[in-house]
Amino acid sequence: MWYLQRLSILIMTVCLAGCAGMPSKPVSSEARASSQAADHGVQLTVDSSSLRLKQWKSDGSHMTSVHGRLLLDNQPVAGATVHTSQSQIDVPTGKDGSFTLTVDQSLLAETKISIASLKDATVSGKHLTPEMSKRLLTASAMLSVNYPIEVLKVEDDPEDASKVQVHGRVIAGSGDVVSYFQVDKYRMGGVVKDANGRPVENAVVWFDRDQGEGFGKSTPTDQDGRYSIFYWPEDEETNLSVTIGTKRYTLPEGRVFKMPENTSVEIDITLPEEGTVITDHPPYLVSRTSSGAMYTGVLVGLSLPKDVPYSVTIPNKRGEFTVTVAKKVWKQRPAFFETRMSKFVEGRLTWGDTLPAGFVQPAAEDPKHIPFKYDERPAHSTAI
Amino acid sequence: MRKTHVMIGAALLSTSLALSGCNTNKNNNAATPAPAQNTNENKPSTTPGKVTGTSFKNFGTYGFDLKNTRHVPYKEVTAANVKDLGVIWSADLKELDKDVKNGNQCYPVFVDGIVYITTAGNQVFAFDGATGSQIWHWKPSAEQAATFSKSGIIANRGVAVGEGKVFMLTVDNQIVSLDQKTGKLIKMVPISESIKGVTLENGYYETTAPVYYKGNIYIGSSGGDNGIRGFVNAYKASDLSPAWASPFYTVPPKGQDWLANSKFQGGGAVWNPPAIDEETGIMYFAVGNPAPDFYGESRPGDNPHTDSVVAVDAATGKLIWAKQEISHDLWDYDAAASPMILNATVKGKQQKIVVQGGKSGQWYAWDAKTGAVVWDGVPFAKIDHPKPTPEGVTVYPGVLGGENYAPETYDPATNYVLIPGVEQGAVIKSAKSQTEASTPDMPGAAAFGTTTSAPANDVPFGTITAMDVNTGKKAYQIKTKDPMRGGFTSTTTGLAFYGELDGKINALDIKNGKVIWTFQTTGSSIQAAPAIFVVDDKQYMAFTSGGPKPKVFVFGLGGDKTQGKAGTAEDTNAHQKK
Repeated sequence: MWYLQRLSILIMTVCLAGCAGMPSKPVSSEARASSQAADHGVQLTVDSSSLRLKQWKSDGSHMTSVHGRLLLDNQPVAGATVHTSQSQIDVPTGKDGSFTLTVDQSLLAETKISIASLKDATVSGKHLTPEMSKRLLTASAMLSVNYPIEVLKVEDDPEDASKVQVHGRVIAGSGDVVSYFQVDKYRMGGVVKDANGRPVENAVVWFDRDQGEGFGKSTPTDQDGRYSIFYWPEDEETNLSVTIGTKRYTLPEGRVFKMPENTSVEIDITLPEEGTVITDHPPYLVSRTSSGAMYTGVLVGLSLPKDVPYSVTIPNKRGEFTVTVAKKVWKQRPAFFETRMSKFVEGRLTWGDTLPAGFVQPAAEDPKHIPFKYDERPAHSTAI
Repeated sequence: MRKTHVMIGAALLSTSLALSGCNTNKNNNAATPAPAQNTNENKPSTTPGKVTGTSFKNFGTYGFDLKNTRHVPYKEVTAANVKDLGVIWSADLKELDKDVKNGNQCYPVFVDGIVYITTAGNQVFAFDGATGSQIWHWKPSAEQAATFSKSGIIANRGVAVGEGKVFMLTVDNQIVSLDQKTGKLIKMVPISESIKGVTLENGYYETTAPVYYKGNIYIGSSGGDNGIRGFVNAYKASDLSPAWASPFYTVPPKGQDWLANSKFQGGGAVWNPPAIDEETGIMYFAVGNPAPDFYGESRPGDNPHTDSVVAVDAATGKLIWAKQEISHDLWDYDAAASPMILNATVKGKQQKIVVQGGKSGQWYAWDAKTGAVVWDGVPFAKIDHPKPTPEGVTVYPGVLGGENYAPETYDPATNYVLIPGVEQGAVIKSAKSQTEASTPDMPGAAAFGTTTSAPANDVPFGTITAMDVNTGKKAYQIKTKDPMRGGFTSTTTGLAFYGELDGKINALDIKNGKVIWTFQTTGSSIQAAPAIFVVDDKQYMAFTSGGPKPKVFVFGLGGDKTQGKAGTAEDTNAHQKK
């Protein structure tokens, strides 16, 4: 198995949001309950707290309903507003305290269900006392959409006796194809400079297809003049331009930029001293292919604090992966998480490659409490 | 992977280059509206202007009614007096604000005395419908406008009005609500707050007009050719928070179903506003082409719901039915234009149907409730799209359609649907190499850099087809000089009004297909249909024109009949085509 030694990573902005979702303690795969209120008189329950990820279907059957109930001291709470972190809307509870959530079962997600409002809530036809409201507002439940995971085998790490290798498998539905971590887009990057060769900050590079639709917009250039566009590889002619504020620089009239396919590119652009026409030859316009690509797809990891190291492989076509982790950590039976991650990777990755510690991080909305099936027969226990 | 390469047979000039000589076409008598108080180029007006009139008959939404029939019951203008139409007022939008961008595809909306116009670059003007006096004006901040200052993807097709607010979608994927009376910004919310990843950097943008219905506004998504995942969503007009539990995605997430083995997202943009049946609460929208446009191998099967008309429950977004026009599209044949709901005579009986004309050059009708096929792909354009070869084949329609974004209209008296058509072929060439590159690192694999752009080699034109809904057959078809890019609005007096790319406005006698009135405006590149409305019993018609000097023209009987000099037909670049 090839270990990625020098993996240089650029994390997409979109991936940064909510990347702080790691627990300070391992999340046990067994510590699961639909209602998490400390007050046992408060019950916020759903009929299924873990849904198996179901592929998108054109008949809409991947959209599903989950029913739940809100009770206070065994009495239904009517007129409460239930909020979920995934669904876009709040839903009311009925007279019997029941509510129904609509869930897109085709998307990995961990949803926190909580009480958004008790303004119109009643119990046994009476409005709530402040004390009752306070108790109810502590209620929450989790709802997860994920692929089930099974642990196939646990064995000693041949290279480090303090570690185990946990061989697991992501279980896809019959006939489903899971898009594991693989090349998604390429990068068009480079530097924008002024006529004196100084980097230009806050310029935006655009390309749009000359003979068809579609465009790419870069990140604004940083203080070093660097920009990135993550785009599709298509052998095509494009209009290349640079905007700074409302000023727009373009290629000479009648000239287009021919993009290569299936590769990232570096295009360094020097803006003219006067006018808005970019001289379309070196040293003013320098183009070369470059390595690296944006990878996107499903990855698996362990729900551990960030300072607990472990490594994991990219699941192969059958969903098989291997986690290498300290025995003492594995003994606590940490839960798995699943994420659909996008990262720019300078090197080259393929299914089965081992990713270094810290590479895979869940986003806030990713399922992080995935239990696993594991037949812990004595033969396995020697490893742990 | 099979690779195709498309060569469009038309000059694809950006709007900034496609300047015509219309700057000199001064219409001496066209009244320029007086700006409202406190208006200057950079600061929107703070004191709303006064509205003329006390009684109004509105054109209150994109399609006149939520069914998108674009057929108004107003009777003042007839075949007998249409020759007396003239310009009551006009406005040069760049004179009112220098930051207005070239081009305009706005379908005006008129509510209670005020015409609402959007511009390329997402400015909004509220004009007094009868006089053109500016009531208010809103523009995005310079910082925001700079994010979409690039020419070519900045078209906007208009506003929705409801609950005392005016709603617009910006190129950079934000929902804007403005105070209907003052134009002051109430709220601006990024769509990415409710639908992850909906950003310009990810290829999403917005050009469509939203539609208001029962407390919600409904929006689609542009960017199918950038490989976005198309969607429709509902937002509460009150606070712009989502009104559905989930957006309705038109295609699978990457890696699932027909995208299981694709490197690409699926496309399926929803370029234009939905039609809504207020009796049933069912909403219908047209879905664009799959992505990538011309690669088929990595997206096997029919690719639902691309190139389709989809019916959902407007209250929840739940799928009711979907019908596909083109399965496994290889030619960029979106269902682009808004569907229309008709109570029409079909095969001798009254039936509520949904109709839509595709970029494929075929027209469809389905039962509104069940989706059962009524008329299946009736051709209204030259259709000849063989399988692409390495040597190249010419396909009809080309990538502009067929029927592009331009809406149809329906005249109950004749039972005709008028279809705006584009006749323009394209040469499509498949790649010689069948090799699929599966790794990213192939330095030097392909030569690249700048090259000379392809020349123009085709002369496009347009058509108007009257489709007899009863028989599913063409009643007549007329040829127009330029491709039909704006669509129609019709009146109960049997007239259909439309604009052309050379700045002309025409009236068609629907029953016989004769053009009975033509007016050469001082504008150019008319790419939207008019709003027709009434103020104090007088009928008005508001058109927008695009090109390098975007304008608004409002016509009425007794208006100025001075014609502009004949314009030059203009087209826009490909990004403005839908």
